[in-house]
Amino acid sequence: MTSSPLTERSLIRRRSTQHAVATSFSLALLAVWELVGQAGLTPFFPPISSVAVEVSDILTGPQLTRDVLPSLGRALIGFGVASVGGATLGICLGYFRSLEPWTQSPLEFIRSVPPPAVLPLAVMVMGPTYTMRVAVIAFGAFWPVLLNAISGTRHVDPMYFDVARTWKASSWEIIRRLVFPAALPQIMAGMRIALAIALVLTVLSEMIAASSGLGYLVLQSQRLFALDRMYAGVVMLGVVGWLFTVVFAQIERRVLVWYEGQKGLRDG
Amino acid sequence: MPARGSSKLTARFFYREATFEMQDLPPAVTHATAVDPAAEYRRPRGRNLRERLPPAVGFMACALLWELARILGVLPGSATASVPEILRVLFSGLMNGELVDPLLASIQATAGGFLWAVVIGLPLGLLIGVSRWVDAVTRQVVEFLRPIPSVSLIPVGIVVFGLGMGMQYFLVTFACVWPVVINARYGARNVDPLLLDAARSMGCSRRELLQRVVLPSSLPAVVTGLRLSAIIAVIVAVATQMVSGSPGLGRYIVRAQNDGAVPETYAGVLLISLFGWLISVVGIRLERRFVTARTNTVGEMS
Repeated sequence: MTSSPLTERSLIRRRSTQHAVATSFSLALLAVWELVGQAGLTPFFPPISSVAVEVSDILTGPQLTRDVLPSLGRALIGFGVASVGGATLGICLGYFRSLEPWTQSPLEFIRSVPPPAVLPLAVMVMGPTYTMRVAVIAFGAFWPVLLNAISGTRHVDPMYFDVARTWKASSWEIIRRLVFPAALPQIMAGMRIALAIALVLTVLSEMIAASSGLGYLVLQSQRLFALDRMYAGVVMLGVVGWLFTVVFAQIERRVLVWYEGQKGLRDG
Repeated sequence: MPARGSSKLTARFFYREATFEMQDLPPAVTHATAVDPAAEYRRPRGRNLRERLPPAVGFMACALLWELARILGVLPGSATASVPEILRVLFSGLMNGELVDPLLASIQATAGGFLWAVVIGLPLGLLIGVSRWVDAVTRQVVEFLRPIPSVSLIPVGIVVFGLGMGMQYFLVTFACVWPVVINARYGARNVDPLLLDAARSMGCSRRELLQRVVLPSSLPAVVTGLRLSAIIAVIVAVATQMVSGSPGLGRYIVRAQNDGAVPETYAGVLLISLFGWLISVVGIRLERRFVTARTNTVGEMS
């Protein structure tokens, strides 16, 4: 549908008004927070400005290499392990469909294990090590990737398989050149969720039997009643979560350029 | 009354896919939507032996693998318990009440936080979905709050609410309000414009439009959101109890682990997993009721 320039302009104007209102709403909330903090009505909410100062202290101080970066590393490694493992196993389970009746119920049950509850078990079995934390993160992030890989593999257009067989493609070739790319959009959709889970589990794994990391920083600050620092940690984790989402969306868009085009073709 | 006819229409016109994702508030770069097993496993459970056997064998195989790993020393015997031992401890714990109180506390935290999330999230999500102005104004705040990993707020919850149930409710609510909000928003936003026009041309008032068109149309998406958030509620409740030491299965598990009570730790994890599993199964059942109404019309519309 083509719209006349007039309505387009008014649309743009409405957008920018909305944007202005939204920004002032956010700023107003921050201002209320700051005022409540400054007034000292409650010790629980230090002014947002001192939280900001604390954030910059953390980012320029030794905590950057001791807490922040290791946290990010753990989250990303766990996420990577989960993605590779989940995609591989998921494609296998989706491709060899005769396995489904045997594996489906056990998988559904293991998936219901709340990932945080695995943490104490992992501490028991592996000790409070780096590997243990990564393993727990990978466990939690594994499931969305796995389920999406299974589903993506199953929903490959059967006609493609016929074509591949006509060309006498081997099983391995079919999986590598047909199933994997066809399931990739779905797998990446699963990875998007897995990334958020990985971050949550990173924080949690640093709150139990840990001595470093952003989760440890936040919890320790609370115990010492250093509330500026505690909120600073929370804010930074929010920013990290947001960054993860944004960067991953970019990567997804790059990797799946072809899919976007195809989707348009199919819908239109 | 003309509106009555339109409400019947709505039931037949669910054809849009409800979103299962929790990540994309801005619709800009959505490629594939993440699936959830509920949408996949629509097949009714088998009643006869032929269909029941494979899952049972699957579970047995898992148990055997576990025992084998212990015997071969892949898993240290001192830090793992055998399956019969875990089941025995679980059973006796439920009988003598040692596991009952933590379980009840976990259920209370889960249910309370979930209810709060519904009470807050559902109207908010629908409002955001219906009004573009509310959407535009709240979007920045939502986009800032949502990526905060919920568990990082546990210390904040402890500071502000203390160690009681209130803190658990706060954390569970914060974590599981987002799927409710986002799915309600999606459901209300993606009502078929044809239906809206039809209802308007039949003279529906704004309120009638909401009641008879928007609400019923958004129901499947809302139910999906509720199911997702119920699962998140269990997870966050456990995490909260683990870190804060406020009552529940999470605390039970961590204490058992600290005391070196190996079978008890596993029994606690098994129990909370059973609870989580129960919730997801019930959720899938409930959702299926609403999803079938939607899928039946897929063919007609597209």
